[in-house]
Amino acid sequence: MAAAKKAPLHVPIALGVTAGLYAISLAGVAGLQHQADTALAATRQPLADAVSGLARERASLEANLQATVAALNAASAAYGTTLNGSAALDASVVALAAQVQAATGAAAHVPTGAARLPSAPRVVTVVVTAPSTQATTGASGKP
Amino acid sequence: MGAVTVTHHATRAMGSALRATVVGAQRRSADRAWERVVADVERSEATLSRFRAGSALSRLNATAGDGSWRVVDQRLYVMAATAARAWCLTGGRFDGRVLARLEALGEHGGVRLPALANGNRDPHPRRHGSGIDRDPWLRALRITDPIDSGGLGKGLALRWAAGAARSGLPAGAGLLVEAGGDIVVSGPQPDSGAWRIGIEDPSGGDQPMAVMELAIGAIATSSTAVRRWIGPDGEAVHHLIDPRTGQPGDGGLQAVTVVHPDPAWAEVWSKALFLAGAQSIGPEARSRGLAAWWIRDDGTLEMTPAARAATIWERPRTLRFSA
Repeated sequence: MAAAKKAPLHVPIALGVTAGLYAISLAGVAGLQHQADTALAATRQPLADAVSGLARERASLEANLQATVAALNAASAAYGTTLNGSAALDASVVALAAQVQAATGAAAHVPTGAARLPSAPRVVTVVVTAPSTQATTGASGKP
Repeated sequence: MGAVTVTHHATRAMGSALRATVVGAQRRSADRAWERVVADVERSEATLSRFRAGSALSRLNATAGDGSWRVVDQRLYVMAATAARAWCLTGGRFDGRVLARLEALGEHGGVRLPALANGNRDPHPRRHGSGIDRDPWLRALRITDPIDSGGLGKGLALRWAAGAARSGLPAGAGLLVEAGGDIVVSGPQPDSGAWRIGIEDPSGGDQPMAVMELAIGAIATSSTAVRRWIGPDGEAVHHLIDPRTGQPGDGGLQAVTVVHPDPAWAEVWSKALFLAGAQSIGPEARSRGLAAWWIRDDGTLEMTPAARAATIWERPRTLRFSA
């Protein structure tokens, strides 16, 4: 019987050494990759902040725009109300004009010079007699 | 019960009409009171008149500025002391030294003022003080310039004459003494109640500007209605000289009437308020609590609250409407 052939010992050793070297290399590559990723993230952070700020400004602008639109709607409604009032005023003026015209026409039929009112006095003097006195004071040294 | 006895007397004294009304006294008492009034006024005039060469005042004025002291009559001393006091209280608006200024403006009739020793009399003295030095122990006076008793002398004469008359009347009798527009009243008047006194319209007319009621006291009026003449510059001047300017007062007033317990001080304040002018007369009269009436140049009558309380009638105003 032939003696069992034994596997050489150096083969597993070589495999183990190779695997170890590979692991070490992999760890080194992973570390380098991490450093590179961190540096890249730090470089991109300001840009990310700017993008966030821009997003906030946009939200604020949108809110202002909505408020402006609401105000415009309200002004438009008020203007409509005013227009309605103006229309009513116009109608009143037209009615008044018609009444004035009617009155003027009636006045034309009033006879002139038939009735004269007395003129109002421009000077009014109320005469009230002074009560009787026992003496009168006047200029000192009056003769 | 018979009617109340009312006695009227009248004559002329101090260049003016002198009147007295006695109420509630027998005719004999009233006549005696009148005699006292006339005699007392004559005594005052003989002492205080600057129109009499022999009066105590004229003799004193002859010594003006020579630095000498002169023992004087009691009445003249009281007049000088009152004038000095009035000069202080009125801030110099009442100043008897305007006499020389009156003469310079052409008001003659009084005793001509003597020239000073240096012949350089100042017609408008504006020195410090009243110019009247007094010695009460000797009853002596020393004056820097001739002084005018003027309205003050008449007020004092009324004070003394009314006192003399009252001393001869029974208690409760009414008395009115009037001299040249100055009036003193006390006791009941003929219709009972307070005496009714009219305020003359300085522009003329029979109707008074207002009527007041006064139970006791004195009334005096300073007005430009009388004693006016044409001055040396050809302009109209009057006798109410403002000692601060040496010119006739021109403050927008025609007349000022003041009620005061004493006729001499009624005279003082009527003249001082006249010279205060239309702008200042109201505040000053009110601050002093005086009953004062004044008539502006435009004829408007105004008065203090105290005067308003005494006024029972005021001439209605003419209302004018523009077209």
